[in-house]
Amino acid sequence: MNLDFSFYNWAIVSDYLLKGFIFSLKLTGSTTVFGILIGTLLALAKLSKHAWLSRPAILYINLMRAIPLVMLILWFYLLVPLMLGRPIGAEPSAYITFTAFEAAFFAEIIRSGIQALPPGQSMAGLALGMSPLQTMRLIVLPQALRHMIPVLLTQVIILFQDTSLVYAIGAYDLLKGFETLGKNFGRPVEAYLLAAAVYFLVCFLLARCILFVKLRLSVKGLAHD
Amino acid sequence: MLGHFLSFCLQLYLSLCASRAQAAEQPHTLDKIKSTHTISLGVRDSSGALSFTTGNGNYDGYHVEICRLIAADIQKQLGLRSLKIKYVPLTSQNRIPLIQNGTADLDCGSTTNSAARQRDVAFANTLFVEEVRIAVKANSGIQSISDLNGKKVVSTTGTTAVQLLRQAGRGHGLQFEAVFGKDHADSFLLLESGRADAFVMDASILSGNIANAKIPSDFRIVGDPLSIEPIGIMMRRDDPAFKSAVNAAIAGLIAAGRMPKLWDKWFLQPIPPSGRVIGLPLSENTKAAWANPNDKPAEDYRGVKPAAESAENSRGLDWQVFCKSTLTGKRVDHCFAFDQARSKDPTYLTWLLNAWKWTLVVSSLALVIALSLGLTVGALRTVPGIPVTKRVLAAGVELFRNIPILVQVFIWYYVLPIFLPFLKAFPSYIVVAVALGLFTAARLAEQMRAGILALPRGQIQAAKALGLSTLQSYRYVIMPVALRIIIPPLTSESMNIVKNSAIAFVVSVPELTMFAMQAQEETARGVEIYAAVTFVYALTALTINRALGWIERHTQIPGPSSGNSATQGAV
Repeated sequence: MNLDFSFYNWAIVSDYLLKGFIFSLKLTGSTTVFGILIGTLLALAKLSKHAWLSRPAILYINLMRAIPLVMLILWFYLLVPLMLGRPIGAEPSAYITFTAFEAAFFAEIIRSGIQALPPGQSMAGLALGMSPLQTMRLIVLPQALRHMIPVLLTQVIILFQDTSLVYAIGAYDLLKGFETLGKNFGRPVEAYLLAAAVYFLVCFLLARCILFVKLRLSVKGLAHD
Repeated sequence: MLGHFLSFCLQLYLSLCASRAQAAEQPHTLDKIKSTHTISLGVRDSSGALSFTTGNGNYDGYHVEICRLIAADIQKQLGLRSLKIKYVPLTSQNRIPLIQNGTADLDCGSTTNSAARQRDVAFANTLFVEEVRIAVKANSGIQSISDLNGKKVVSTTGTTAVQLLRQAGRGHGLQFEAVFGKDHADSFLLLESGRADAFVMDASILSGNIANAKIPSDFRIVGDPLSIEPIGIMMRRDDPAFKSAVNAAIAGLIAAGRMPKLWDKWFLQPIPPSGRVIGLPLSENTKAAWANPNDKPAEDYRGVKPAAESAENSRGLDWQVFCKSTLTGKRVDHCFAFDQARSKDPTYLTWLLNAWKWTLVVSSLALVIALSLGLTVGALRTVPGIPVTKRVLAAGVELFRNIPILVQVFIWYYVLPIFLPFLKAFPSYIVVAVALGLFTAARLAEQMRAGILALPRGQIQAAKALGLSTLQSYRYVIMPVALRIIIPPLTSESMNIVKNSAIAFVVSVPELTMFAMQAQEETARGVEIYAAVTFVYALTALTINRALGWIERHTQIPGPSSGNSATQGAV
């Protein structure tokens, strides 16, 4: 079996791949933003002293982490319309499912970031007369989020790769673009090889970009590795 | 809280029960088309010449063009000045629910019209009759199904051909190894790369794939058809007005003599996007369907009367599906019997348990690889000195964590054996466990490295001051603490392995996801099957979660602020 890349040209890239690439990026971007927002709230709820806040958060996080994402995507897509009585499109459904799912993962990362801070920090905040909310917002979270950036970044890379799971509900992402291209032109092996190269490049560059951001964001004057 | 959760479950259950009844409460399709001036055509991205994308959100194909002609006719019937056509991409997993809930008005793909499906949806009069046949390599010497004894036979997951193959094997007394491709392109690749000796599938798909191959003359379609199946344009059930409008449009096409021209255009002439030719001659069965329009299901073509399902069975949830035989589709008594009967006439429950076993096998193998490799690599990357080794390891980590696991598995299975032929000798579950293991190892290595870097400098300096060698300081000081720090991320990754093992279905390991796709196709009981599979996954992952949680608690370093103290050095 020899490889034949002759069918690739720019028209094909814009016809088959661009749409999927943009969708993958949009899904990754919006899930990261909303997932971290909701994940932070979930993490705070999980660490809360009040059982009525922490119990539901723990239940939610554990449940989300135990179900395969693709099953969740299918359930949401197939069942919610039955409950609402009207269909929702594949893409809105993907945005909601991904955010709900990734929020649980971001929550765990942020929680461990908060817990890794020396207790002295929040004690100092409280001693200065800040309310617990102020301490959390002004002292704990800024540091915790900064420290967890490498782990959050890894999760974003995983997320970008996981966008390919929307195949289950017929949404068109980057990998789907390569697969369709491979099938309709009868060159699946070549299409997958190019997909590997493109994903590698995107994820690698993503990692570099965020590492750069991390350096810019790091807390001045504190000892770092 | 529990009460709320239970009432939510109850609501969910009730809404599921209502799902089939609810179709009737939806507005009639014709009214919807009239008020929105839009018709939604369900299409497939690559279903041979029947329905495929030509890129950029456009779709074409034999059934797609027929649907467009039907839409034009309905526009005329309703007297609409304009009618917008919206394409809704479907997959074989979601097509039935999406037709039921009205996301798509017509399924212009490649759905077999079967009695089981007619419980849930309706079909327009058949315009395409498919024959299930066998494709082999021209030089293989295989002439018919009886030559398949002892051979590897591939079919595509989620198609009726798989069940047919199982029945044919039993009927002819044949022993062959069944393997499954994720989609038709993968199945054909299994045949092309020599991992399978025969590909059993719809003739149009076989000839399309052969026409597209690098050397089409290497392949042949042999033997008698294993089955004859009407492929229909699917629509909602309980909407007779819409159905008769569609059938009137179809009758118009037949009367105007359009069908032979459409056949010639899509199956005998070059088609987009690459100008391939399917080369599928018009069959007698298709001609007969045009001459005498009907919506008879596949069972009528086979001359088998389908077992009459009782009416109450077709409504609501039916968990009896797990006690049905995978050979006959009939309910059997030995559902929970763990004896000889199980292996002779397996039920869907037996199959589910067997699929679970494969998920566990792949996950645990991958976990062993990921743990041993990931922890070692992560630790090595923090050792002072050895710059070359560290750079190689860093490159490896980047390579394995930046490519989606699906693509990695594909490359391990199909691409690498081209260069390293010995890889073909390994069974596919080993290949997928290695791929998944390396993928997870790359992530674990990063966690391990972060864990070690998070240790207070003082610990390492103290070890050095005490005169410990590098190896000793890792063995006695660094690793014991670092391993404890990374238990939480390790828990996540272990749960991820179980969930990611679903990827094994891509290389035809008969695990839970493959079971879900195949069984829901055969039984038309998607909700029950998916619910059971989701439950089994969640059970497995939560068990791992609890087990590692137990380890975390029992290995905690005692002290006033245990748990947090180890990571304090991160600041």
